[in-house]
Amino acid sequence: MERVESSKASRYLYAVLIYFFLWIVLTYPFSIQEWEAGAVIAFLGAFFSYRQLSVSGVKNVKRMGILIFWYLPVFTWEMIKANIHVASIVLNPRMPIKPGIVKIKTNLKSPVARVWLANSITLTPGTLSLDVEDNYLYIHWITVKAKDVEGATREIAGKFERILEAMFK
Amino acid sequence: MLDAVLGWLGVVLVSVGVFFLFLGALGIFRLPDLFNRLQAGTKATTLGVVSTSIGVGLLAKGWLPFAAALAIFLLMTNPISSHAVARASYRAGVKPYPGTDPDECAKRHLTIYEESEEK
Amino acid sequence: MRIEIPTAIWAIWFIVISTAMILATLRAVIGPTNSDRVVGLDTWTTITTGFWVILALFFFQFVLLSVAMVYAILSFLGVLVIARYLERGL
Repeated sequence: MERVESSKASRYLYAVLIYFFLWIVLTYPFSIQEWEAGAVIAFLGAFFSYRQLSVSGVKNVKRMGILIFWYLPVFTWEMIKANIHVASIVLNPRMPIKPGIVKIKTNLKSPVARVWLANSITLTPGTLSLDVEDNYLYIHWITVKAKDVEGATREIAGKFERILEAMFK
Repeated sequence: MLDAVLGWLGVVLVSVGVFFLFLGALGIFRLPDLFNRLQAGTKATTLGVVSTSIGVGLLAKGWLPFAAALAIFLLMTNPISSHAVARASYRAGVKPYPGTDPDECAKRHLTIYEESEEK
Repeated sequence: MRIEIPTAIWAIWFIVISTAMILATLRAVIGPTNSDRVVGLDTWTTITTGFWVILALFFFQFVLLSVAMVYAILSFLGVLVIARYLERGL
């Protein structure tokens, strides 16, 4: 796995931003005293944990743009479709299922991108990510449409892989 | 006026959420094997709880930031925990429903067990 | 609250969510294998998080929303630990 690290300052700044934002959200009724305490705690907490929090530092802020304006609409739509699919299966008295475990190939390199891909696959219609090995993911599919690797990859991962490639480039 | 619109939108969202939480539980109860159950359980309950918290955030003034943070947290962690349970139970030897076809994972785990016995 | 919610709607919400919790508990009790019980538990904790959120609105206490957040974090960690236990023992 390649692992390109940004500078320490960038990672530290990113940790401070994230912690401060979380603090503001979690102590909701806004007051200036809370913000002062939050700033102190964000700087201290970031000092202890910025190494674990992120690899690419402030670059993540640009990714969040793609995340909100491109990934989120696609993902929300897929999730609504997935739930209508689940409802149609569960409420149908005969339960029309045809399960199978297929193998798909992914081109994503970084571990974080793979976590995002696996999560997206789990929440999209009829698929559940089961295991990971090198460049392959094992997917449990509730109504199998394609049994070979290429067909399954196109059917399951195609949509999200393009977005995540742009995001984690 | 705005209050009424947002409030009734919140009521609709909470109702949809509660309905999908129920569907998730029903799926857990009815479907034939562990992996199918996990599918219904994860997807339906995740949408259910996210929709419920957004609806509650709309219904009460000033709760939206915290409710949205709760929704985002659940959206990120629920698939991870279901993936962990699925992988662990496959490796612990839970057999999928007999009609499962193809089963690519089976060959792979067979080789893993053979290797570990050799060592 | 922005609007008064009719009592009938509260009743429907509580009845449906209680039924869901009972179904998930039944799966956790009768599940043929231990893994099935864990799946039931996982679903049950998610439903309970939703129940806390609705309860926070019912009593109109912001604190109960924080309870839901802590409950979600702890149940996530608990399920991860149980999954690890299933895989190779503690």
